[in-house]
Amino acid sequence: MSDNLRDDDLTRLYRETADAVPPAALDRIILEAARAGLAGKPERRRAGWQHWTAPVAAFATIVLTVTLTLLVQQEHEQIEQALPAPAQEKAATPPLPSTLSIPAQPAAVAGPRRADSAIAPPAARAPEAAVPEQKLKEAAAPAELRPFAAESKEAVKAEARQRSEAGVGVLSAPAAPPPAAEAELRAAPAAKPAAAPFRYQAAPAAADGVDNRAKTAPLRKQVSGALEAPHSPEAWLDEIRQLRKQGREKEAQDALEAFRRAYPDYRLPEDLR
Amino acid sequence: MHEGMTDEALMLAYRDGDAAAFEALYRRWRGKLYRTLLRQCGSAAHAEELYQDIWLKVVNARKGYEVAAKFSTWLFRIAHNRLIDHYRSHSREAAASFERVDDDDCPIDEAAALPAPATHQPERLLERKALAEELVKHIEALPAAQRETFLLSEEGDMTLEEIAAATGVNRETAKSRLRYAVRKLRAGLKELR
Repeated sequence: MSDNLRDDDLTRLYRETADAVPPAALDRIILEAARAGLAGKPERRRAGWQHWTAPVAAFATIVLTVTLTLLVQQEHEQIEQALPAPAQEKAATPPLPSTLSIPAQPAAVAGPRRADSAIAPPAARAPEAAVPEQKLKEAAAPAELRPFAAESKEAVKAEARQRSEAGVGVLSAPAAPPPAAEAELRAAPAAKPAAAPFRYQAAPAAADGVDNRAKTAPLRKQVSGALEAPHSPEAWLDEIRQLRKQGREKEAQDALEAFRRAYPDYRLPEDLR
Repeated sequence: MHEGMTDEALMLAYRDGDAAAFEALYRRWRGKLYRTLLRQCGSAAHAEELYQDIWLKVVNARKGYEVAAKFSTWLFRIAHNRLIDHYRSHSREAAASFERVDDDDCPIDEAAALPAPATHQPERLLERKALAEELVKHIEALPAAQRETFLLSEEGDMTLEEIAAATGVNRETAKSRLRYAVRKLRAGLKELR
């Protein structure tokens, strides 16, 4: 031992006490255990079924993975099938006059729609897809539940104006009209008041009460936005110029304000400032 | 047959299937390990329990045994760990004593205050055997870490480096513990003489 820390007297004295030994029975137990260790006795015996735990666990994992993969794949296929449905329906549904013939068979139309909407995820129920649905609902509604059928374009415009003045932001997005609304606009005669398209919006509100107006508000925004906002700022400005030329200063002024709200960064031409 | 073999060679022979090698090894260390545990626990029952556990660990470690240190260092390392577990469940104070690296908070004068056995009479202590018994009592009164270091030095005949390796401390800590233990025991014996 280094550092000379040992005291020889102490060591000698301690060694005189070193007569304590373990009991013989303990010696026997330990020596037997040592011999048993050599005899190849497994330290921990495993039951026969325990040998199969790892393969069974691996198999279960594989089965679970395959099942989940198939389920997800199936779901994807269903979604893909459900997605193009509104477009097909839109194409199949004649723009306006057909609404008059549909009420004869409302259940037939509403049935598949409900099935589609049950399968389709929320993404598939975007406002664009909701437009044909609205149309179908409207078509299914009896004519007496549509008191706003004669509502004119000006009435809708006025409503949109009120909403925008109240900060609702109808024209906050420089909206190109949604495809469905665009199609409807194209189908309607340009000079005539577009009575039919607006009936689609007004009828549920009238049928379901005031609360439904809030439900259909986004749709109304889109349609009214589509009416008020031409395709491009230039076209819109041309329209404003036309209004001025016709002496409709109030409407021109309103349209200009709407334009400013829609395109706050757009530099107005000299003649319109 | 196994007399000339080192401890490590015996353990390797046991690993390779020689049961007699283990027996020889066991005979060499049985008393030393048992006494170390007996002094550390102060109870024969606890010492026997720990003793059996430690040897069974040696037996179970047979297959993976490689010579990485002296057999005694390895054996007393197992004993140290088992003792720590024992202290944790029986004596928090003793377990904490192993955590303290610096033993300077145990002044050497404490040795003078070590409890003298009530029954001792100076004339009887003149007898050597009685003095040895007193020494054992003083050893048992040492802080656990110092006591362990002293016992490894005396029973295991281990160097400071080996003690440090077996107890998981650095050499200076082992040295400090041994110094304090020896000083306290000397001071205690002086009183008795």
